Amino acid sequence: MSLKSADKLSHLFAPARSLSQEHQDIFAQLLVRREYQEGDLLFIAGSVSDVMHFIVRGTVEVFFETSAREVVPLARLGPGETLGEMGVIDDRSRTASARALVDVHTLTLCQQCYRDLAARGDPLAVWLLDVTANTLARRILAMEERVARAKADPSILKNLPLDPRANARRWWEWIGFGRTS
Amino acid sequence: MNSEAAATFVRLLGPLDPDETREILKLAVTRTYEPGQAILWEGTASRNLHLLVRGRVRLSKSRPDGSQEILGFITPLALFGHVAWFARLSSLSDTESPALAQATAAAMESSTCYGIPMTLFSDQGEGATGRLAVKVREAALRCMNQQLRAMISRIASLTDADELVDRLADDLGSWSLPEHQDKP
Repeated sequence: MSLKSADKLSHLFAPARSLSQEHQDIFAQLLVRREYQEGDLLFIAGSVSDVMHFIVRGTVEVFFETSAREVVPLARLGPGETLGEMGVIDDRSRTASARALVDVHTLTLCQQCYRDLAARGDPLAVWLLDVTANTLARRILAMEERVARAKADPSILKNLPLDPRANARRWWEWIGFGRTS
Repeated sequence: MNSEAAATFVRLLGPLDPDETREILKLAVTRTYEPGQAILWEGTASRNLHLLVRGRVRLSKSRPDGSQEILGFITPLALFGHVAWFARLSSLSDTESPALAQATAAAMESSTCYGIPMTLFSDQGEGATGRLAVKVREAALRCMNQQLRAMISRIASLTDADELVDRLADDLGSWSLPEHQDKP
């Protein structure tokens, strides 16, 4: 279902506040609201990347399964964050899976809509890319900082389990890849 | 700038129409750096995104005692100098103030880079420059995503804490576009 005209995009998705009202209104018309119950899968690894999600409410866990069928959580994402954007931008299949940890509401933008915006250099495409790039860049800088400190002082790692797979959550939180709790 | 540069930008950005090709060749500046020469200094304003086309570049950060901690190495055709710019977009509307380089980038051997000014990112038009702004952003995103995906594979396969830190440092620096997997 599409957004109602009375729904303010900036109220549903905080990063949209940097857009002008005109752009918010245009963007809102491209979005489709989706609802997921606790435990529902939003997408699975290997599937086609047909939409990107903007999380409005709830918590989504991104994870992948190893060849030994161990579930490795990668991140927990909440309101104001995006999900699945790289597959849409880069036309690749999903590299991880995502499930709703509680009831979740998202807004979705289809791949064709993004491509149409990008093809003409629309400011909305620029904004979308900046939202995604901001998240990735901060994550990389956090990891670089942690690795630099750990190389300088290996005792920082002493409280982490030797085998990252033994307690993936703690490793991912330390690495700064995303909240896992 | 010549046909080699045009072909390089197509590999980075995908197909370009004649206006986009003309614009990127006008914007980009070719620079060659001698071994040991700094391309970016940690803490200084980073006004260009750099595309390494030849050579090898080392990334490092300052330790509290003033010595340098090596973060990793960059090989062709990788982008650098963009992470700090995207990271400081806290309001997503500030495209004017320069970002500060988070690491020092120095040539390990004679290296050639194409510098693309960050002012390209300030252009909100829908002409060739606007379309280029989208394509360069997409390339930067691919580069950052490639780094993170390499981290996922590495994390899942390592069991030794010391080895993990060293390998993570390698991954942070040793990346290039997916079709170029040259390792240092």
